[in-house]
Amino acid sequence: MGLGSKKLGGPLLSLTATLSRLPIGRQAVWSMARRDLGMDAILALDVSDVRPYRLDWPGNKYPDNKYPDNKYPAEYEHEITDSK
Amino acid sequence: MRLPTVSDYTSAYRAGWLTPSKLMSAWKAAQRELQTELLAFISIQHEDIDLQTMASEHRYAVVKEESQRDTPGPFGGVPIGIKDEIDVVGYATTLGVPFEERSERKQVDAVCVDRLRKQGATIVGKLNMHELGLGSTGSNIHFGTARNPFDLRRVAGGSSSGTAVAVATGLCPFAIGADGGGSIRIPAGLCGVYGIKPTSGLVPETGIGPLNYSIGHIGPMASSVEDLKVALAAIAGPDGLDPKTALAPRESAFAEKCAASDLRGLEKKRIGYDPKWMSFAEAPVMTRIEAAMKLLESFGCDLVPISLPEDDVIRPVAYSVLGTELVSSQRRLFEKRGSECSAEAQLYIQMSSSILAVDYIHALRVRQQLASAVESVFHDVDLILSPTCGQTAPLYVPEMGTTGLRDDVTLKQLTRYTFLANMTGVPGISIPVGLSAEDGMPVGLQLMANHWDEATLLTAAQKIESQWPLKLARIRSRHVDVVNAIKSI
Repeated sequence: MGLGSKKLGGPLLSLTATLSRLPIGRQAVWSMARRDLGMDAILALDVSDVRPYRLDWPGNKYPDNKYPDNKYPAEYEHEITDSK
Repeated sequence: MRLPTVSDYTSAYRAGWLTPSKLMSAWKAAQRELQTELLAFISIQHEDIDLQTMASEHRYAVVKEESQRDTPGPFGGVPIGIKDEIDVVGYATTLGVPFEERSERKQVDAVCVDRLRKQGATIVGKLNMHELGLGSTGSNIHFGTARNPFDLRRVAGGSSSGTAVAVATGLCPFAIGADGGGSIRIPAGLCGVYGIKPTSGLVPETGIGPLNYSIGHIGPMASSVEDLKVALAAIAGPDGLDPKTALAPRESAFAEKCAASDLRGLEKKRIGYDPKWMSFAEAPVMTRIEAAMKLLESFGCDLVPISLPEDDVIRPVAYSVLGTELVSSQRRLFEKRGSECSAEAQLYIQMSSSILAVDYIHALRVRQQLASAVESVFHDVDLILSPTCGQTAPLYVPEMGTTGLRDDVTLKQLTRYTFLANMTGVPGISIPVGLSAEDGMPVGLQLMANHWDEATLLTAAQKIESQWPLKLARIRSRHVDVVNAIKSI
């Protein structure tokens, strides 16, 4: 089933329609986005003991927060690897 | 009929009955014909292609004379397309918008393109994409929306729409795309080809966009698993420039791992699936997914129910990260040209520009929770299974781009299974598993693996391909086999 075979709609439609007709402020947009994209739901989650996601945190990719050579980050020596 | 593979091209060149120039002449004619209907390409530079073709022809001639000085390379004379988010010498990197600010012709190839070129590939042009990578249908009011080779009334999916079409039509045995929220896997699934989003940091992003630096990944789509494998192996590995690649395993030897993947079995592999996740997919999609699950069981896999984070949590985090990174990377462009973007893009830009710093940081903390949840799941299973998309390719609706009308139901169905891999950095693959009994459109199976375990994904894809080859499914789609067309003359 594809677009057109279903009822067009959902929260973004109302948001889009509003934006296309009205000059609208930044905060107003965001308050709608919070509601329409479900941001309020995640903002309600308790993350007080959670670090923000970081790409360079080995714990996101390796067990025990160790780099692949089995060293902890503090032990890790960066080496520049030449391009192929 | 099956689509030509890399080895079909190179074997024919080595056998001598086909030359790169003969091939390219037929390829250009086929491309022109398909382009009018399917809009896979944004730009092609014929003189550049001719120069590359002459060089390939020379290298094959040299090999014939038994000189080892200049070999054709594993992709010698093979036509490869590149998404227009990735730098290619002599081409602008438009990101899917035709603005003057994006018209500078690049002097240096992106690292992934450079690696392909050094292995002999003929870069045949820049491929279409959803405007600024801002969606999953491939919609583009500037260059036209790429259509699905299985049904021209439907979209190809996005954002790497042209990449999927170039592969699905047989114009390229593999092509390169980018995936920030499903942009490789979604169009691959909707067009019936293989597509892999590698682990974050496996393929350097030097010379890319950038659109979404922390969640966008470069990867190939291909019409065979073998070509997906060789393409990924060719572009993977640290380059000393992209800091994301610093976390890649030192001993990765990724090409060797890939080459060995077909020697590994799937027996006793534990494959997790979340029944609640899957319940959102439409019935014809689930019919094919359930058939694929039975096939995997017949290979000796254990299918295990698991619990994954819900879309209601994943989606807002994904929007927060995708949007803010995009606006940050393209701020100047939006300030000058925002009003010339489609209404859909303008909405997204306005929304993303409004995200408060504290809320963005909050989203990153929830993202960390998602990463921890996925890590826990991989303590118990080797792979996570789901549909690639909850539905088949949607119909093309021109009004989407011009009025900003956006079908949120369809958007959710296309992206609900793909965001998680981008948020957590794990690799994901889309494997074609047949056609929907309802509309005859392709259905994709998504598998995700733990970080750096692309080899298991490729093994699973190869096993499924061995039972369900694509050739029968091709009968009703727009496609061309330039290699065999020349042979049969």
